[in-house]
Amino acid sequence: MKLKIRAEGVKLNLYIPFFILNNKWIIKKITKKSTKDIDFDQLKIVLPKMIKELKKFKKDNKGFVILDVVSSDNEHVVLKL
Amino acid sequence: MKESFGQRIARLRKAQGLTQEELGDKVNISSQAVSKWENDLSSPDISILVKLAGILGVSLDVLLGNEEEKDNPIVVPKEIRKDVSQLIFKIQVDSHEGDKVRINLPVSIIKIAVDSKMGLPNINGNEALKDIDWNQLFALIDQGVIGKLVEIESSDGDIVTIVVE
Repeated sequence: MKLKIRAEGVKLNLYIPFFILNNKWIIKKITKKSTKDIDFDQLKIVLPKMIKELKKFKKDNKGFVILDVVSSDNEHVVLKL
Repeated sequence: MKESFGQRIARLRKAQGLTQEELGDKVNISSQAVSKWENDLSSPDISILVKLAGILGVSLDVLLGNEEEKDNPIVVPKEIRKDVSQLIFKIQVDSHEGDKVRINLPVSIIKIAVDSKMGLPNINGNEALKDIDWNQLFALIDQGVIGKLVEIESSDGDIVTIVVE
């Protein structure tokens, strides 16, 4: 996946590999929850299924915009497949 | 300038990701005939208008230009429905602070999350999404309903809409 961040004085393009979504620390950051509130046993089962489906979808939809956030102070974040 | 009938067909066809040939195949006419419609040289026969509206994902009134497009939900006939794996959930959040969040995810991925009781609010943290009955939405999708399925305004003024395309 490709992450594009635009803000005043910031122009950042990052490549995010799918496997990073399986990382506990990343999940903690994304969900803004402490690790004890997250059922990692469940995530261990669900996430690979979701990633597999996402990869399948990506084959026919390369460049598909998953997330597009524009903040009131004009910061812009785009996540593409 | 007001959009002509032909221009509307062309725009809606492209929005559905169809070529003139693919659209022609679905309504049993040639791609040349579709081209003539789109260039306002001829009009579709009245007998295929309802089917055409269903394929293009709009109501007959919207197709004919009598009504503005409002993403109103419509039921797509079984024979021309897209496979669930090709449908997209478009979740739009317009916060009272002016932030705009657009999340586009294949229906199949959200279904995995919901089936596992993971739920969406855990992912994006928006409270307005908490009370949405996702199973009810999937039941509607299974019946061929697409368009704007949910519009909620939360107590703090955030507006959440969920559109299926």
